[in-house]
Amino acid sequence: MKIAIAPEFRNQLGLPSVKKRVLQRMVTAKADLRCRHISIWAEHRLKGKKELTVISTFPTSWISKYSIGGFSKLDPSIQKGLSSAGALIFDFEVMSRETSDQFAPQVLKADIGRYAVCVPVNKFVDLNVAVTFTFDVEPQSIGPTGTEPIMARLQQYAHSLVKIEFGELPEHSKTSDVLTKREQEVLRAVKSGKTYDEIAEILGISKWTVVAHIRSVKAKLGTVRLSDTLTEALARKYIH
Amino acid sequence: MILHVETHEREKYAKQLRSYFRLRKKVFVDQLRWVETTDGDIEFDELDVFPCTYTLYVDKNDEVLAGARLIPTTQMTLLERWFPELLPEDMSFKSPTIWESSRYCIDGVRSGKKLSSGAKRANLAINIGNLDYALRVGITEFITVVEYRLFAMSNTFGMGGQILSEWEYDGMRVVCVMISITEENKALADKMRVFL
Repeated sequence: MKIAIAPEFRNQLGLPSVKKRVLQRMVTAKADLRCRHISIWAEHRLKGKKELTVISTFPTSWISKYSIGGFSKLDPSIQKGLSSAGALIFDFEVMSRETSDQFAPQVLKADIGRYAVCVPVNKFVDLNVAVTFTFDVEPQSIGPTGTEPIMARLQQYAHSLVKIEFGELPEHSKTSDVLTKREQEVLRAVKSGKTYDEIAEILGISKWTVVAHIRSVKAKLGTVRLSDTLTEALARKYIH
Repeated sequence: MILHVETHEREKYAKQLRSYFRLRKKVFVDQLRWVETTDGDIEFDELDVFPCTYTLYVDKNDEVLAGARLIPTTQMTLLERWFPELLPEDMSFKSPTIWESSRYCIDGVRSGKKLSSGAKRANLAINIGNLDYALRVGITEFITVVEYRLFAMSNTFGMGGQILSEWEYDGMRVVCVMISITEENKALADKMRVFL
């Protein structure tokens, strides 16, 4: 079992720390999404052995409840999220009225966010991850950034965090980091300031195919914002 | 009624899922002959074992009139597994916000009256159901392989999407389509809900 914590998004001396790149991405996500906390609960197999990895920005007092209080069996993000395909949203105010267990009231008492969005990241049987973001306000009331709605950004951040932490497992070779020739062409055109419509016309493809290429590149590079995608592609020398 | 069944809810909606898998057998095995293997009276493939979401349109007896299976393209998809040649050249389509809709089928006998557009109510229900789910979980595009007939039906609602490729299979026109979740689609869905 691996536990890495950065209470309030800061690594602290004496506590098992979160990888620098993962923490940087969490800090970016917090600013972009206006979330309170981010937590990763990952069940995976390494050489046939079941492993658990927990990475979290929750206060230590809250995290300790998972080992001492057995909260992992009550936390709906873990119980439902690990076996879901789509994101799940929980309102702990409502849950505290409707369920008898102590989890929701304790969430509210700990003041770690009234709402939680759990984004599952499933890679067959080898890696099942529930990435949870907590919020003070209803997540879907948070407006889009550019054309990206909040829930789409949550999906992208969750996948990018998992990608940074776990990298590409051999089983996922089909999602290799290498950009295709077409993806590089699209990215170069974006860098030169062309709009998606212009790129579509130049390359003789539809606008939505251009959009899909960009999404594919983001997934491969583990980025969310277009500016970060270009920076990462330049750093890896996919474009010049 | 439109249902979205997540993996952890399969037990709760066992009756409806069983009905959906029976409908799949009727459509994909008996009628279209796209699938050869079955498990008794149901059609259930290897992708159903992994996390996915089902959009189901059910009647008051919980019998499924239409259904579709939704899978994030970051997982293994039907398109990648069986139809990779249908994707535009050099394209992976793997993104957490692009999902595949597959095993889309309608009960031709019980799927309700045709709307004035000629399309079936059950077809509209699945289109709206998929759109609602997309908005809820952050899906930006669906990619799907369907009979041209179903694509044309969805197109009458303005929700058909864009054809990426097409071919003929056993004398039938089949298309690979991308459906973007846009403001226009949302507005159209809201207008069409009254027909459900």
